Amino acid sequence: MNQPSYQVKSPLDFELKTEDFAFAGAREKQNQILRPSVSYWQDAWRRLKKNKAAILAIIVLAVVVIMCIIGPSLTPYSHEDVVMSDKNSPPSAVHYFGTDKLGRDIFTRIWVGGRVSLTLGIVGALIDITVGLLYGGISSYFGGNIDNIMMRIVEILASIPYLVLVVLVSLVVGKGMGSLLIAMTLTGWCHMARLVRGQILQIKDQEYILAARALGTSPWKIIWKHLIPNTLGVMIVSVTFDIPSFIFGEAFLSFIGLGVQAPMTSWGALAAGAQQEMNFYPYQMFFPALLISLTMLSFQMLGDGLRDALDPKLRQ
Amino acid sequence: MNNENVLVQVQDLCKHFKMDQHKVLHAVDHISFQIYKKETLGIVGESGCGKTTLGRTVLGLYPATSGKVLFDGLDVHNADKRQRKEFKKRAQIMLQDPYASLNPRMTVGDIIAEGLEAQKMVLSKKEKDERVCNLLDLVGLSPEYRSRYPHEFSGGQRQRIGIARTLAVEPEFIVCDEPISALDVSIQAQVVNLFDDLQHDLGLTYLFIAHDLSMVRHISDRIGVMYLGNLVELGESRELYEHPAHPYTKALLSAIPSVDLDNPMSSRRIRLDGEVTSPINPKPGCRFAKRCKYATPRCFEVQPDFKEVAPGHFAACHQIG
Repeated sequence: MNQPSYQVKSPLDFELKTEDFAFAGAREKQNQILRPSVSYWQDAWRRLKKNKAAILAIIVLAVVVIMCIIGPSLTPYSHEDVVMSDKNSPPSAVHYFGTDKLGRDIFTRIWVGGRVSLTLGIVGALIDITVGLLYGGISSYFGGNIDNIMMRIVEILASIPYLVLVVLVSLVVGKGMGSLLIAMTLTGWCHMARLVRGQILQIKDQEYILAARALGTSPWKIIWKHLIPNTLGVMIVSVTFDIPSFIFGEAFLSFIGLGVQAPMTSWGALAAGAQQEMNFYPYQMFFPALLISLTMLSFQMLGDGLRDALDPKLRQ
Repeated sequence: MNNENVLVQVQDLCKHFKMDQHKVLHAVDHISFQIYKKETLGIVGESGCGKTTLGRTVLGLYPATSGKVLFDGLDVHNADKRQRKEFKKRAQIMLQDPYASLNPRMTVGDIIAEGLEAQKMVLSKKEKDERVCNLLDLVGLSPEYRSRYPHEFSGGQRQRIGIARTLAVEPEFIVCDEPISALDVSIQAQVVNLFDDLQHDLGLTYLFIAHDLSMVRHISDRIGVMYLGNLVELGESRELYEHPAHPYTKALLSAIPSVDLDNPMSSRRIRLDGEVTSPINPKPGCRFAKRCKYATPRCFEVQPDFKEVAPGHFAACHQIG
């Protein structure tokens, strides 16, 4: 029997098969567009390179670091050489930055002092971040009462006035670079611990942590492989902001006489020495102040650039 | 079905969250059911009814407030460290959000190999690489992807990476916590078919949590309906869809959009009035009573038992039977 001609198949009358939903082209290699894999850090570096201020900061910092290493050997003088016949001489071809009231070459002393300032800044920040990361990480990961107790300890430590602590430490340990470092890091890691804790509290409820727990990954491995890499970006930024605060702290403490002791010097100590005769010999003050400002500014700019570069949400 | 076929036995399981001193959120309240070997048990229910909490508590990721979960005879919540590790190899979770469930700082290869390392299933680097390639192939991804990072993939691809990670430890039982709800429809079908194929090939058992009723019907052998922390109905998939017993199930099923063009008025939607009872400090009685048009005073006083209305079909309602 013939079908009546008016029975047209409806366009909605079709059948779906499982094969219609197979994965498209996973194994068709010839169609694949291969491009180099861009890792998170490569991507961040690409973004940082676009930031002119950050690159300038890196160059300035590199110059300062290199000069601190080779600077003192560019002059025939030692930072301790006292030449009374040549005191308070202005900048010249003999003494690039002039001499101080004891006839010591300021150019040499600046770079020797820079070693102290930069070492303090970098070592101090490293101690801060290591202690802060471990402390904050443990506190937030285990949570509950452990977190409560550990954070109360941090609050108590952070409430001790900074100057009181420095004076106490210099009384007990004696003045110098070591005691400065101890005094500044003794409570300095507290804010880092808080920062890490906040970050980790945010990350630890992410589903990939749950998946890791379900797979039987050990707590230490979860901290090491999931929590720390995901907080590192924020940490690096915070370190670049921490270093200038150490440099400034050292400068300030040396300025009021609690820091590095003569004949050793630092940028802060140089500025303090020049301060009494600033009206007559402003250049003695100018160079250490310039170096302090330049270094701090560079670190701040670098930190700013890093913060933007490490935030994947800002990717264009 | 006899007892030998039971893989997971959930007995009177409760999970309560303490909100503050007086408020307790009853996310999972006195739930009992069994999951048989190689079956798919679907769990449906509206948002916030405790589906996810149930799945995670069954896996021991949340400690239970009371009750027991027996996995092949092992009491999951009272297992020692070694047993727990072994359990984590046999029972796995598949997560909902493909964007949040992959660590953005790890390569796809490292993500998939995480379970292999945690369970010490591979010894050499080469062996690990081989396994990862096999797993990627299994879920339909190119093995070349293993050195890439999650942000380079689409949602569906990421979900397949998640499936590969779950399958890496060769589990027998997988809790699928809305694994398709974050994907668009065509990708959903791909992933569901993948789940189906894997069940056939590897003999897997699923606890499939979802709120897409038609998808659950497609994949499940049996289905449980949850309402505010309670399991209100449980039965064979076909039986439950054709003869829903509980008023809530009826309302839920009537909400499935109909594509029956011949008879568009065939299924009239049952509209639920009244407000959802709070799961915080729930009052005695049936949780659904406030929204149920059949409710009697008894419903507000006594919590209904979970009773068999037909062979293998259970419901908790005073108005039935």
